[in-house]
Amino acid sequence: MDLVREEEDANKLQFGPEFDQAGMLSTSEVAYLFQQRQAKGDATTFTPVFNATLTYTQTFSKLKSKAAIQESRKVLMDHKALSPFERAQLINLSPVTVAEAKHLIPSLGDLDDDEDPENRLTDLDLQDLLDELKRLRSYT
Amino acid sequence: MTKDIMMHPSSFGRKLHEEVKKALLKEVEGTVDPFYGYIVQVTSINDLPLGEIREGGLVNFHVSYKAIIFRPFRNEVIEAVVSRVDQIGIHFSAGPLQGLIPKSDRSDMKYDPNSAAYNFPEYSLKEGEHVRLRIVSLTFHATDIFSLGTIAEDYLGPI
Repeated sequence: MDLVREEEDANKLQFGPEFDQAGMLSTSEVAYLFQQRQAKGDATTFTPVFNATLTYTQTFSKLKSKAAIQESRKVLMDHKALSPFERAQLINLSPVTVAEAKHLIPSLGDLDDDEDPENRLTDLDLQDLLDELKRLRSYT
Repeated sequence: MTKDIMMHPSSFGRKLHEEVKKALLKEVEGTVDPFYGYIVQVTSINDLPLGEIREGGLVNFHVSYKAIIFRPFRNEVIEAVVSRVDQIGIHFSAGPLQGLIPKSDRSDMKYDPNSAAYNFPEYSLKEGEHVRLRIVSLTFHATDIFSLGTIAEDYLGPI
């Protein structure tokens, strides 16, 4: 029985060296990927893990179209201060206020007063971003 | 990600890459890796390196591949489904991840066996409902990951 390493902490964006270069997909994006692969006829091994994950992504997906996903990804990538984890979580959890976003994703709290403008995301910027993501959730 | 795959010479021929891919999928898909979590679906395999002959004539291929993984992290907030409630607490599942919000999580949660629900001042939770929780701890086993979670915070609870 392995316990997760003590240093692992999503609130501090500490995920372990294996994830330094990893992309992090949102649930919505994985739902879309599974759909695409199925449509292409890619052979999928239907393990219990795959089936459970497929159902989960369909249940909790927030973005209903390729356009919504692409636009959301683009606006999130435009904000260079964000980390891959924060971007995925902003899609997954769909917070509507800055307070909600910072409670759910505490690492966002470190961004509002960074000295380096490349690394800064003010509360105003964040609210604009949340509003935009909310708009994209209603794209069909 | 990488994996060592042992192949028997009877599978050699023009379709070797296919055979190695099949063997890789069979070995890793659906399993739990101690670092990467659940390996849900292999998406691509890099060009095969040269195989190394091992004892007995089997050949080992050190395969590099990409996969979609499901890797929850400590302190991550996730959305989950209540799978059942009982006197221990609120059991949840998020895809292949199973977990528990123990009865001790909040002093204001009360189990009502008659309605098979947990009652809180402002809401109740029962099987099938959706809940937003923060992962407090994770335990990785050979074939599954188990989590303890909390909803004792603002913005957590029913979705």
